[in-house]
Amino acid sequence: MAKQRVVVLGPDTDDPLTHERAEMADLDIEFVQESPQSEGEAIEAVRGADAIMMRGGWGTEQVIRAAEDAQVLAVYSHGFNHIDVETATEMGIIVTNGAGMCAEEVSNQAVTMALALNRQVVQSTNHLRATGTWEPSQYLPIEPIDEQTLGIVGFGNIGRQVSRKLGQGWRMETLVYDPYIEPWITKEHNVEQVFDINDLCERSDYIIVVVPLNTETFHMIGEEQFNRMKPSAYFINVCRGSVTDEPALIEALRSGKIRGAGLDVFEQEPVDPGNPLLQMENVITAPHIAGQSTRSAWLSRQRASQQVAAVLRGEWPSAGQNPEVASKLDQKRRMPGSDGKITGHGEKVTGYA
Amino acid sequence: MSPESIDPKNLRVLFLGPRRGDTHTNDFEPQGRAARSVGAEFVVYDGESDGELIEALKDVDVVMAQGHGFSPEMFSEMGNNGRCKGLVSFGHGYDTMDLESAVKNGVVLSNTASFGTEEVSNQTMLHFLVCSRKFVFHDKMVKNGGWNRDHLAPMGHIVAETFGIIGLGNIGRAVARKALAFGMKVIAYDPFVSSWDAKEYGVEIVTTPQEIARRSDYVSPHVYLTDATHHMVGAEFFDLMKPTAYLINCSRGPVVDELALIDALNQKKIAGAGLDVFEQEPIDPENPLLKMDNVSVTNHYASYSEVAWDRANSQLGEEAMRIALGYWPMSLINPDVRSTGGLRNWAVSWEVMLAELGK
Repeated sequence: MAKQRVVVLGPDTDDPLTHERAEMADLDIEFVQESPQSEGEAIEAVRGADAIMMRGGWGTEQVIRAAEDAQVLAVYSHGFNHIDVETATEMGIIVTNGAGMCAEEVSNQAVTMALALNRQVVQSTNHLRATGTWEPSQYLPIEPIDEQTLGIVGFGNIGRQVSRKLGQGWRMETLVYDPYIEPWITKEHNVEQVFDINDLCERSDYIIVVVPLNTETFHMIGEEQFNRMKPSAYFINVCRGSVTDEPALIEALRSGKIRGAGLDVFEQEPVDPGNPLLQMENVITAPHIAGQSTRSAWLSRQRASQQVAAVLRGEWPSAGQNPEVASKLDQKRRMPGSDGKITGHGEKVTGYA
Repeated sequence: MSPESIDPKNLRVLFLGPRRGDTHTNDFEPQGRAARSVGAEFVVYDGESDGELIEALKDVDVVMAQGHGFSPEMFSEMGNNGRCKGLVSFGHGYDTMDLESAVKNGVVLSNTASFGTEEVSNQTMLHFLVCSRKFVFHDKMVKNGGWNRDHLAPMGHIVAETFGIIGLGNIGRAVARKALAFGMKVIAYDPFVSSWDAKEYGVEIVTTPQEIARRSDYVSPHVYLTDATHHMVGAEFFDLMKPTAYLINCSRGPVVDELALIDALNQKKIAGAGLDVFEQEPIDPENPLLKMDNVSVTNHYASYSEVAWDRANSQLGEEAMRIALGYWPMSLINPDVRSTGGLRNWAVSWEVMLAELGK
């Protein structure tokens, strides 16, 4: 059998690919590194690839269509909003991400922002530095967070960690909006599931969004949602900027519909220095670093490589993001946990489970 | 297929009760709740033979079954070959169904996952405590007029002892949560669970069942019965266990090689066992396990409580309606059907489906 060709698209072409090679050591792989500067170069780069690994952009329709032989397209990040998943599905290409590779980090960032907003840490630091005046009453009221309500939008890996750390850790009442989770998950995590995002907005003191960006989540937090929020509520976004309608957020902050915001992400990145959000005292920000740590830097590579290796071995990857692609695959792939044949056993008690 | 193109009023749902026995004495209210709430027709099957059932399946969109057997031949009249797209079965285990045949015919299968998670994990903790505290022996002694402390040692401290779980699904995780509350070290073997998931649940993942056997003071399997799990706790496993350790089983009897267990208990290779399930049920009254004072037994009711069974029944109906309305079920138990059964919408919460359907 010919070597399988794994094309790695990234910022450089001389990366040692340590984790990629280690995870695929049992396979006969030819690694090709390309750093395309245009869509045309990306199209040429992916031709003949059995697997594509993306450390940056170029997940466009034309590029994916050129990858006729590819079985898998792996991104190193959580988000895959820069990938044309529909075309990949049509082409029978499994799309995977680095699920879980920075869930600790992103949830830490969300919790940090919630606590910083609650304690007014950034505002008081800035004020003290700028004016040298001692004005404790300026930051009041500071609410007791253990008596407040946390609202988590999206209850995947990251949302569950926000629940564990902030909700359980601070003993907050915790609401979750996620129409895709099984009912037993909320019970296990001791949270209340709400089925209308507006209910969550009305009842929560901290609204934290941790969803993937897609057509369904684009601007899911907009004018109507901000109108429903309490004037004392804080809004925190550590996932993708365009999950929020940013002009609506700016308006909500200006008019006092909500008390403040913590933003790791923006609709335009790098953020425009003239963006009014940067001028607001009740907004704390970070330059899209929620996922960063010395561990996530290598873990993302390891996870992405494990996903590719699984597909090239003929298995279904644990972080497959387009399961509907299964209907396009000639080759049957075993999903994790599908054991196939069953065994007989002794007389069964009818009705018992 | 999309929910927009399906009118729930045209849907028919068939309910199959047990072939034998009398466990269905209610009015099927919870089973039919979901169907009725969207205006679909809920039909209770009253036939006898397989032939009658195959005929009945031709006129329904989905079937739900409680304790009713389902032969591979029935699947050949379903899925891609008939109106009836899927089967939801009451309970956790799917050891009575032929998954290969269902996948081949594009039949979507689901169960009532997790309905009894709390109950089964509670039964597990019950047997664990009864074993650890040597309750069966002492209860019998006191009731027989005895009163002595001659049979206490060895008795573990529980805190800081090791609880070994095989299978870290819903039930395994609930057991882990409860064992952690007792201050125990919890380890688990589950080749389908990642180490970071296990970390989230405060559990150390080990890579072999043998390590569970060697390190644990209490071992409890929480796995489905399949070829891979049949007799996975057998003679070799008992040889590796500590002589002070206990085996708890609230999953399926044949996961444990019962003859090997009896042998291990007779030879004092392990300290005792707590069992809700057996290789043969109802258990043979002559089974030596019933004569041992270091063995606690219950008659396969770990999952039972009124709340759990009501939840199972309503979940049964909701899963059936998801399938009929062109969604995936929440608990798809034959995921390979995604490559044979056509396109469906993601499973969403029942409340959200009702909202989408304008109910």
